[in-house]
Amino acid sequence: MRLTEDIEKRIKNVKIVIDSESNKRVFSNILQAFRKSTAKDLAPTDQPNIWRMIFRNPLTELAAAAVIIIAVSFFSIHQDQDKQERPRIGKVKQSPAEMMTAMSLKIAYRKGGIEAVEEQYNKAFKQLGPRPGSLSAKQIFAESNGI
Amino acid sequence: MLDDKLLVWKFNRGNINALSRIYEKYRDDLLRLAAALLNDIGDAEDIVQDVFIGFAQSAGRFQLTGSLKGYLATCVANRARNRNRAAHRRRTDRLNGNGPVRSNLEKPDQRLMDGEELRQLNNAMAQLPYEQREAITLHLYGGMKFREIGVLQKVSIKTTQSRYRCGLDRLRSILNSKVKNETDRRHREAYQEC
Repeated sequence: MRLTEDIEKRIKNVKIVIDSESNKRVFSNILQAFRKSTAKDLAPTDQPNIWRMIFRNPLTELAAAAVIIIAVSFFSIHQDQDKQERPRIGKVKQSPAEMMTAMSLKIAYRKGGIEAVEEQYNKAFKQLGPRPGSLSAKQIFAESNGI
Repeated sequence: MLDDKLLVWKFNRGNINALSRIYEKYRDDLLRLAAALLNDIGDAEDIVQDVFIGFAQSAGRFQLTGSLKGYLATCVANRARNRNRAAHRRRTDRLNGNGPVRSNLEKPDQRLMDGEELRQLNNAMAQLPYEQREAITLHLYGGMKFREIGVLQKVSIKTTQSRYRCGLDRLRSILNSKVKNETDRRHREAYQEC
């Protein structure tokens, strides 16, 4: 055993002497190749590629897949719940009387001026149907407002 | 190991100091490994330089899965094996009478001083079968485990361990016989002087 160790030690400890000048020359050749390679290959950003890092390790790959599945299922469940819970928004039909209230007319005026007020009147009269010629607008207005 | 991870992280972001530190850290072991596998200092230097150039070119996309030293040692071992095969083919061609004649002159920009100790050891290593040499050097210089060497050599861990042990035994006997021969020669010379 000792003999084996001795010969191992002898092989390991054999000395080499290197001429420093030519060693520098060799290293400059290596450096030249390195510079060429880095100028060509290195990306402008130093950010590591996250997807490459994830897919290099099978464990992280599995974890990433699990996270994606959980996220997708959570999103879809949430979407379904939203659909069930959301009340249906529809246009509430106003009666002619409601259309003729002072508040409603004021809102219409603010939205579109006198034209909007006129339009609202027309809508209300359309819903009420034809009116007898003897009935004045004032009477109709009074009637629809319950006065 | 953590130090290497940090160095590789910096290296991938274009840090020259990280590359320099990696080079300084592993150069000697890789040179020893290549020299032992090839038994040629010049070729060993070429291979180590090529491995480091290849490594430098991978900056920005290099991914470390095991040990950095093991990775670099494997690169050196693969290149050394290829070069040995090419050299074997050249030798065969020469023996057959075709192919170029290779010069035995030392390469002009050799930077590694071929020390006596290293030469002795490499000569002894050259007498081992290539697989045993590879198992010994990858384990001792490359810091690789027998399991990793087994994967590289495409054999079981038991075979790798057996190659390693047999190689060491043989190496010891070669080196001891050399020492004995040297002592005998010195004794003879001293006797003649008397």
